[in-house]
Amino acid sequence: MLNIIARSVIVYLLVLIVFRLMGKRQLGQMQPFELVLTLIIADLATIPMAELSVPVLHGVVPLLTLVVVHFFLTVICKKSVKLGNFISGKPIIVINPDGVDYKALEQLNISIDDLFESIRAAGYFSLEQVHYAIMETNGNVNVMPKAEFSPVTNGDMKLKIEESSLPVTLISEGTIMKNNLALADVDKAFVEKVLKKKNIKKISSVLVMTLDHSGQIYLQEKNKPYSVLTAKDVK
Amino acid sequence: MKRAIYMTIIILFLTGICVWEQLSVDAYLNEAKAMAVEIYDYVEGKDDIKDQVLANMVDELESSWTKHEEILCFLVNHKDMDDIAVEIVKLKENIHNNQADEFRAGIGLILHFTTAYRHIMGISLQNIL
Repeated sequence: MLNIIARSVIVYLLVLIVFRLMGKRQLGQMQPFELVLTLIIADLATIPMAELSVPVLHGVVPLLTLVVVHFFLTVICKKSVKLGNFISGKPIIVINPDGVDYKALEQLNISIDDLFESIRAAGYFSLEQVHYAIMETNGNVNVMPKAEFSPVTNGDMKLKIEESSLPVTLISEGTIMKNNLALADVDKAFVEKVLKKKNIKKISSVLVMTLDHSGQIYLQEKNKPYSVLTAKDVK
Repeated sequence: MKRAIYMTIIILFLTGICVWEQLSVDAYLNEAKAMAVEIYDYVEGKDDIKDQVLANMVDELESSWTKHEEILCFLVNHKDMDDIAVEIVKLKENIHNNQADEFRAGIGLILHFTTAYRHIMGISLQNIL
């Protein structure tokens, strides 16, 4: 049993490394060849885990081989548009100003119901709202609505809105994010000051604390309601 | 760039594994085969095989194969390696029971395995396809 546990840990860590090496894209937006790779990896990983007569290397070597093949395939796809199109396919316009392109649907082997589903997922419930719809190579359908159905933006309204900034997490579940302190241009003393201001004695009792560019601090203790204060309040 | 370095490391690792496998399989099977041939020549034409020299030769073959098996376990499916070990154990029994014909058949099988295993363990077109 100990063998199986050790093998499982090795294979798990290896698969984790393999996925990290393949990049984050792998997780959400898989191209056809990436999907194939994921399916093979899932199958390969289980063999040496449970089958004790198979050396772990018999699982490790094919996994690493696939990573290398995938790497070169990705590089080739980037360099050669033709090969990239052959392997990953290319985006196809399924709805144009004339309506649904039936030929494109046939080519993609999808039904009108599948198309409706994808359009609804994009937030449009009627075909007449759609100006263009494009089936991407990863299977997502992106929709460009007709002008009268597109959402109004601040730009359309000619409103001048101040750019908001991304809040930086300074404390996450009781742990100070040291790298983020420099990013937010503050130090640990600042964080301690904020906590003191809110009568929080231990950092470990903080669920989350963020700071944005405008100096607004969002602070919440575990099992308590949040509070908002500004950096000026602290100084 | 970082990814390219990782890929280079992986390629080197894979190359190392392949070379190690091929060299180990070749060396170990050759050694086992040479020892088996020696035993085969020794028992050829003999009816009485219950002798200490032969027993020592088989013991030597067994300990050599057991030692190599420990390394081959990292590279080859364990089930594929069992046959030789099983036949060696049978050889010892044959010596004990003075069964010359069975002994010769057993050593013949070991000789066959040391050749046939190359297709299973090492690089070969038959294996790839």
